Amino acid sequence: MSAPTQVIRSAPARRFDWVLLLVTLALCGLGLVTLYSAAGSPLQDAAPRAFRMQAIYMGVGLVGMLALGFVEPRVFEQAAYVVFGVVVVLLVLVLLVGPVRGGSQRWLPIGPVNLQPSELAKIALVLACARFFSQRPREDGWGIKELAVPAVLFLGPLAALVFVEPDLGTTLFLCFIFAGISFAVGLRWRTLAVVALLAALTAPLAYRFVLDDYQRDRIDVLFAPQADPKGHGYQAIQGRYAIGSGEVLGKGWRQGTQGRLRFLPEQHTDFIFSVYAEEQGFLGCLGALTLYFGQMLLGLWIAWNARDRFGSILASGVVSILFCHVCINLGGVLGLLPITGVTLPFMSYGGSSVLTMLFAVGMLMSVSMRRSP
Amino acid sequence: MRIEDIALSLRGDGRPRDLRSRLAATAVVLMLVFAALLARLWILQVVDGETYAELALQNHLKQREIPAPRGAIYDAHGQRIAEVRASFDLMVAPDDVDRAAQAPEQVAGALGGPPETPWELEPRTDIATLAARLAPLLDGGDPDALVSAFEESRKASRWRPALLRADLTGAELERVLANRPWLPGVAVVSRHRRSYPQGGLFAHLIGYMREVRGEDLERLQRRDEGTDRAGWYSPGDLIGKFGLEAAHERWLRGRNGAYWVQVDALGRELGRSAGGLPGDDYFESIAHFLDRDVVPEVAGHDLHLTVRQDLQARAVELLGDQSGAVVMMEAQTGRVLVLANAPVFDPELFSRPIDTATWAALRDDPAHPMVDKALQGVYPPGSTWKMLVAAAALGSGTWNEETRVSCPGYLKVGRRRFHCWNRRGHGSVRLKEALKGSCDVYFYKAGLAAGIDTVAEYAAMFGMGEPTGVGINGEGGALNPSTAWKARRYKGNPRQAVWTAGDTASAVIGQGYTLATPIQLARMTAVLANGGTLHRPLLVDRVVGPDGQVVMRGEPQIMGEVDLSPQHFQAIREGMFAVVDEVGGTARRQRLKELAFAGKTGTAQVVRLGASNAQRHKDHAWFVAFAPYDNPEVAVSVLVENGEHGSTAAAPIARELFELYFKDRIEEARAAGTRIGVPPAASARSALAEAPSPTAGLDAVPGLLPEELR
Repeated sequence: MSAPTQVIRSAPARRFDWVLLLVTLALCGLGLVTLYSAAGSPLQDAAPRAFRMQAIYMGVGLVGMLALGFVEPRVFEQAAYVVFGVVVVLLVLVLLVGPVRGGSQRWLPIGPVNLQPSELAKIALVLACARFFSQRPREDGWGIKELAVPAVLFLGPLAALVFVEPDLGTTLFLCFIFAGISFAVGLRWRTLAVVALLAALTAPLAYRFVLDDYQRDRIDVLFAPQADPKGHGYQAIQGRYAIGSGEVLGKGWRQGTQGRLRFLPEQHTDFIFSVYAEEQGFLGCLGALTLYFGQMLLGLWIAWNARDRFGSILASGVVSILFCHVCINLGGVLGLLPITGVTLPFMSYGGSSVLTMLFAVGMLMSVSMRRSP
Repeated sequence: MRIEDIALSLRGDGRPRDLRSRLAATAVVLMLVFAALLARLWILQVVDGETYAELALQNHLKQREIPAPRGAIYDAHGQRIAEVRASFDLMVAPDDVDRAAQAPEQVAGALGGPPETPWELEPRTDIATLAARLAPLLDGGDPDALVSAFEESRKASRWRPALLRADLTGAELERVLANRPWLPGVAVVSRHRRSYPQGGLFAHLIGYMREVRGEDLERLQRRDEGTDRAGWYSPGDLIGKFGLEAAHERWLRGRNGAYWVQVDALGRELGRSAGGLPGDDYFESIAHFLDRDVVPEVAGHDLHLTVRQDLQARAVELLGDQSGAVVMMEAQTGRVLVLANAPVFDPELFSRPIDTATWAALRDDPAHPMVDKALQGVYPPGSTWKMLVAAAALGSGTWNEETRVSCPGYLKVGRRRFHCWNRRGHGSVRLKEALKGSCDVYFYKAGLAAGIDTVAEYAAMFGMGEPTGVGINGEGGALNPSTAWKARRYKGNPRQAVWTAGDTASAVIGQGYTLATPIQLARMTAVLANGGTLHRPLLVDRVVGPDGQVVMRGEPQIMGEVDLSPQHFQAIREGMFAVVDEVGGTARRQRLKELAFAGKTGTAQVVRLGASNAQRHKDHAWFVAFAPYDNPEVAVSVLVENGEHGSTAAAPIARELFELYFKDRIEEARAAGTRIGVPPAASARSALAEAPSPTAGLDAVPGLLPEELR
């Protein structure tokens, strides 16, 4: 019994995670520099408004990240259900008072800022699941029956509220995060196989009966972008031109023609990586991907060394948020997955996205600062 | 898993070692995805990178043309008869106009006074307001028409500037520029426009230009594929469609230059290549993917013609409101001095969209202003054909110049009587008197004696029945009939295919099947004058490149020689001289005291075929002439449609042209009391001929002379 006693007695080892901070700062820096080019006009040298706003968001986010980093993980554990409850209330408020834009209700106007609670839902889901799973270790892993409880309790309300906004993308995104956490806490391989098989079998049916026309179009474009080059395929084709034309070394910062001359819609939000790829080339992309995956591997390392189950699961959850974002965004931009409205962490323009990601990293930092010796 | 760990786990505390296997699996998944994304980037950027780079380049670099000015056309004395001038066109870019149209009652039509402050002026407005402000500034401006012109253009392209009014007048330009502050988005653009300073004077010779049509464009692209002329034309360009503009399109059209512009996704121009000018910062900044150069435009070549503006103007003036043609050429070289038609049209009419009413009026005008009568008009040549019959009779040895024929006023050919135009008869005539009085009976007999095929053979030597080769306007070959021709023409109808003596009688006096164009007759006259050399009519003296170098010189070109002895030529010329110079000659009234010239009148019956009974119109009047009589320099043919008599309608025009051409020499001769063009030996004879001749008979009695002959 010596080891546990030692752990309990030892004072929290406060070791600041400089590597995680540097990687995150580097990603934020890349994002800001790319946004300056992507949101700017070729005829004006002034810093674009989006750049200035993003810099402010990032400043606020970084401060929040550091603050969260110095909070005890135990506090997160205790506050997990409260946070979950608050987010649920916010999501209900969105549906009650949120303005309708583009056919959906996703934002809560708070003063000059538009809050997007569905972004916070990702963090709330991770927190609630971390607390739930940390107190229920199962040696024989989790099956569908056992997972039904957290799924109904946590994923259910969030996913349902986001789904009726409607925001199918984020709904699926929450499901992916839940799946990621389930995998991390010991989802049975057999269950995983069954769910994967079921998903593969029902996908064509969902394509036929569940998806809207525009969603079907996006899937069609994935397989045949040239079928409608001026319409549905435009974004995919122009994105491909942008990325490909960057070649090995890139065209240079603010020299990308596809992005600068507005051939790319959504170039400063969801498609910002194609601007980056055009201007920085393959080598630049290699660097950026290394940073992203390095950050995720750091997250896994933190989970590995976490002092307790909550911290470990929380870290895994944050990694799964980052992973889903990077994979789905880059998959869409590179033409491997259908194009969805998922942002690229630290690069895409948008306050809610930037704050959510930085707060998530802040929680990762908090776990890291109290890791096992 | 140790028991302690499980115990700790149950308390929700302690090292979560049970989670580590899954973390390791997750790390493997991460690395796999990382590898997949990198592989995808490798394919896009490294493997296919060059392809995508080119596609992206095509996306944003567009070639724009620098229009090349078309070559000018000058007359023999350097007068400009076709040129390029700047035209100021009123344009507005759809991008600079507000999309939302204002309610009609809000449209601000009135222009304000001078602005108190710059802020009073709106940076942009809607098209209805712009049109309401522009309309009063333009002559006959209609706001609705301006709006619809704009909308039409925006439908075609949402960023290319719309043309609201082409070719502003000076006053319009002034008004628009003065009110520019109230006309946001409106621009005045200068462009090349073809213009013809002489108006319609040279309309049929110079021709006109039209917008190149789709099928022409395809044809040109096929023709020029692979040559350095590929891509010379693009939609909207003007191309020569008639006259020299069409025939010398290759010389006249310059080569358009090109520059590259960078455009954004909306097609807006952001910058342009400036051809390596220092200080072109913008394009230097994108030079690493801009390996295309500016192509400078090359102006077209200038044409210097042989025609003379003064003579042409006089010819058109003399034709007046009659329908007809005048061709005048140098007898010794074939250089064309006048190629005139009447009525004329305005060649500038065609370089912009022509309205259907104007076009219909031109097309349906009974005087056919669009037809180049000098080259395309085929007419019965009437008595001007008689010289060819004379050449055939003399040249074949059938008759000689002293052969006498008695003219009782008609000749019975078969069962049909062929009348002489002078029903009382010419009495006994030789060749000279026959030409002078245009005796039909003499030539009926001469033609019948020589045979139609001999006549056709000699006529062909004078270039009849074939285009002269002047090289423009789809020149007509007309018709030099022969037995072989008729057999071909009526193949399969043996009764009609037989050439009859009656056919000969009609043909030899320039009726029946015989047809000729004014330019053919002018050249025939030149051949008679120069003693047998058939030249190709020459229009272009030289072609001068934009650098001032002469790249082509039009050299007189001999197409053939007439096999006829000089004495026989002289005999025919003497007859033609008598026509003008001797009492009783059919054109005696045109005689000039200071200049001896020779000619021949002609009157061609016009029969409209297909009418129930051949309906007769007023006859066409002909006159062919050369001057001076001795050492001829110029030959001319004049046609006046429905002019009735060659002597009164056509001959004075030729005489006046001679007066203008020989103006200085005539004045000298008048001062010196001499006469130009009279051979020393002939002077005595001609003086003798002025006395009433016993053989001239009734013709010699003034007042009894009928105006015309056939």
